[in-house]
Amino acid sequence: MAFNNLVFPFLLLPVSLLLCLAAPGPVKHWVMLLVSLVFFAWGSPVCVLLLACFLVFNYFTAGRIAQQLDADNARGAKITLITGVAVDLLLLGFYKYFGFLLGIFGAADKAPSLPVPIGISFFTFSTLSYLFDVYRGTVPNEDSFLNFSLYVSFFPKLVSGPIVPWHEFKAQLASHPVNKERLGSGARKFILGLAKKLLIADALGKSFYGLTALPQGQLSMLSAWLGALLYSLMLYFDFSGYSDMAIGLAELFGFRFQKNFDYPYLSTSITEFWRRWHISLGAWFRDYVYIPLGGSRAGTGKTIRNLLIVWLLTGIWHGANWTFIVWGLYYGLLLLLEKFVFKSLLEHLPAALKRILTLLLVGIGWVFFFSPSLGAALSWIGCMFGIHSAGLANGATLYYLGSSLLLLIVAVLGATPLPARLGGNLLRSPSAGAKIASVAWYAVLLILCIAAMVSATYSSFLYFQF
Amino acid sequence: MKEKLYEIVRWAAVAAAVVLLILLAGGERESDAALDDVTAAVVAQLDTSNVQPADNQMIKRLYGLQPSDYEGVCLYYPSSNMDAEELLIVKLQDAAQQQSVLDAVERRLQTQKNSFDGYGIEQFDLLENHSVVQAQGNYILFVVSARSEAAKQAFLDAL
Repeated sequence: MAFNNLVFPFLLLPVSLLLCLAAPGPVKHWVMLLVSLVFFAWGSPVCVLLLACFLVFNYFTAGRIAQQLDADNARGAKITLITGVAVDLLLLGFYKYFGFLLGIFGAADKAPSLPVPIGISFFTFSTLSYLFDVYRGTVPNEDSFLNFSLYVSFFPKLVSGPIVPWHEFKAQLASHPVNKERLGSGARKFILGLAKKLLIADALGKSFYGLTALPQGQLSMLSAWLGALLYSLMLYFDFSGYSDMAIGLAELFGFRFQKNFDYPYLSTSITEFWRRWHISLGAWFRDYVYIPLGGSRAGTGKTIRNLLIVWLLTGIWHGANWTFIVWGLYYGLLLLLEKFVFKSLLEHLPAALKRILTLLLVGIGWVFFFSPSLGAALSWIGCMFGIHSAGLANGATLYYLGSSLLLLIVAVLGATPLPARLGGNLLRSPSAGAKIASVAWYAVLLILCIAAMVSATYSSFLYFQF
Repeated sequence: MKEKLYEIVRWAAVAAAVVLLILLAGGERESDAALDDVTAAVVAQLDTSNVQPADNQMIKRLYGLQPSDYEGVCLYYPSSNMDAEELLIVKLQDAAQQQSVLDAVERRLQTQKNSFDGYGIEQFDLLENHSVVQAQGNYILFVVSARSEAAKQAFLDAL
């Protein structure tokens, strides 16, 4: 189920919140697990059985690693870890890449059409981090199957993250008070995220999908850039909106998760962009791939190798398509150029110019992300530079620019800290008028979101596909 | 002893997941059967005196589906406004089309129910109690007939 499905805010969320508040201490986590499983099962109930197998396997794998480490059997623990990771990756690979691999050999139609467990990429990565941490001894093995299951399947973060490390979750399991501060803060984040998705991302999507549906040969140079801009903003508001909702929902249940986005489009370099975009995924690859491979401490050659491996894996993680693989390598290459070739030159550029350069490079990167094939991506990028484009601009450019201009201005402002600063000032102000204005603002947003949910066709989150 | 138990449970979970995946893959596998063969098998179970084959325009009009978007679409629709029997079989090009076809079927069924509600008791009964919607892999069946269950079985056997 998605958070923007009417059943969620009007039925599942209030019922589960009331049940959790009413449940006595030890039962609370069982209720949360049950709610998470209902949430998970909504689209395809049979997937719950698969999740149950996944949970049992990983719980006992971690337990077995801990047993072997206690018995000083390091080799046995390593083998258990390897089998555990292999099984998890095989399951993920089967769902995400089997059809792609068959397609390479011209047998895509032989791929079984199975219901895909929602959030499989995210809960697999959460679990892998737990297995690695237990093996390294940085966290103790968890005795409670309930706690482990809740960590993996906790519904706010289940579908699209953020990927919360086990130690952060565990630290809050013992005490996650639900008080009026957390309820208020959680509700504000949830409403803000919902508004980002329904009022901005979905609205930007109308113009973006209109542009992508233009017949071949009718895409002008400016239309191609406008499409890249619309998608850049749409993806940001869609995914950061989802993350805000997830973090807000977790807070309603007393848990506090780290932010997953930090105004990425203000970055002055690609390196900085990836510290601000999908922070939890970047941190996962840093902690469990890049650093174990030696990071940047093993000489230039190995640093280059490590960066390319990380970015190839990041691309593959996003999906089974050559477009994602090229997209990942594109970022690997950009980071290498930034780190080893243009470092001193970039240091001397004014910040505003660096921001614009970063935005342009990121916008080009998103073309690989939204294109259905590598050919389509290259064709679109070609149009951005005038190759086979329908001139500099045409009627379609003017139509889509005119119809989305106001929204683009709102979105650009919304991608900066300005609205949060204004909102924060209102909240912190001692004046009663400011507080009333703040409450009214969130109430209006909520009403607009409900209206959008009721009137519009359901629109999935872009990151659900990953 | 505890060590052994952990190993057994781990691999039992893997075995259970594999069995589940095999069952799911078996139940939802794509069929190579030709649309004409499947249609013939289903039609053989039905009384077709009250229905007539539809052309592409009629499919678009009644269901809003563009036949060229699919591997194939076959529709038998009521011969007169006083009949409710109907048969639709769609062979999808990919699984992502399934939901939109099911939505179109649901809309058509609702339209027909609204048409007969209040005055066509027999027809409404057929639509209410003897209609079957079955999605199986890359095929979708919608049938309104007193023999809808037999048609459904023939459909499944033909895939």
